[in-house]
Amino acid sequence: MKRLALALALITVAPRAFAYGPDAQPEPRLEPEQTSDQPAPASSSRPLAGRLAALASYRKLDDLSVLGGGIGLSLGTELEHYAFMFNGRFIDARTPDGLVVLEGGVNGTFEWRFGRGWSAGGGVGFEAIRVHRVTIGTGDLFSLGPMALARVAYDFGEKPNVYVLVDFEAQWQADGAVPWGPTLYVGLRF
Amino acid sequence: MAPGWIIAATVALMFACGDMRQDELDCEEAVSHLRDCCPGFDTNLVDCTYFAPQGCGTTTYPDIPIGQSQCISGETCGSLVASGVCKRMGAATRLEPATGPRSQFYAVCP
Repeated sequence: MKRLALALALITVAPRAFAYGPDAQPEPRLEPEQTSDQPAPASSSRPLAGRLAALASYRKLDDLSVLGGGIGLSLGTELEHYAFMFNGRFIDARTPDGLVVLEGGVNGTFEWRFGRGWSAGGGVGFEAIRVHRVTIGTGDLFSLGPMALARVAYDFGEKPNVYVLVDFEAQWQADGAVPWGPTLYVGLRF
Repeated sequence: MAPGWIIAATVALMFACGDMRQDELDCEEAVSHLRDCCPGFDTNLVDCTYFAPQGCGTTTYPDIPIGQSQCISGETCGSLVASGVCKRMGAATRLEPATGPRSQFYAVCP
């Protein structure tokens, strides 16, 4: 049994002993091969993405035209050919005679990325609208309802980059109100 | 069989809650216009609320009906003053109706 163990030990050690002899060259250390699995440098294919923008909006609310400005933030996953984004925004708007209209909401969007910076898609979400009264009436006019949107975006270069995005949306609010209109975003994609 | 989240989203999409009546909106817009055009106009004398009580009770409509509201909002300030709308509106808001809807007293726009 001892002889068998000794033989096995010699078989294991001998090649190394020859290799590391006086004239032996050190075994070259293998560098890990570059494969396609290696993380790519920062580019548009990085899966996590976000957008932060200033925005301008126009809404047709019944027979009133409402113009506003605000801020929008999007976070999501951005792959080579498509992206899923979770979007939130706040808009401070005015009617022609100065009624204060506040709008805020969240939505989820799916976007196809066509290359050359262009992408388009759509989504659904919820939007809240509050109209401040100027009369003695109690409480503001407030409604929360679902919305749907279509969007087109253009990215100027690789992340982080400036982008321009246009949403066109319709909302289904209380009492049959259907505010609709475009929203223009200009901001930073990261 | 549709996934549960699709059913939930579909149901949610069918509903909206709150209060966004056009007659209230137009009334508020008209009063805002009058505030800008008519010196001394007191917006607190107008009530643009719609209220429908559950069960018994009387439905309350905005003081200014849609037609009047749109007429007021469509006039320039100069026109509202020159045509006497500001004067009539100022007088109307100081009256309290004995019976009937208040909007009877707010028919001021030509």
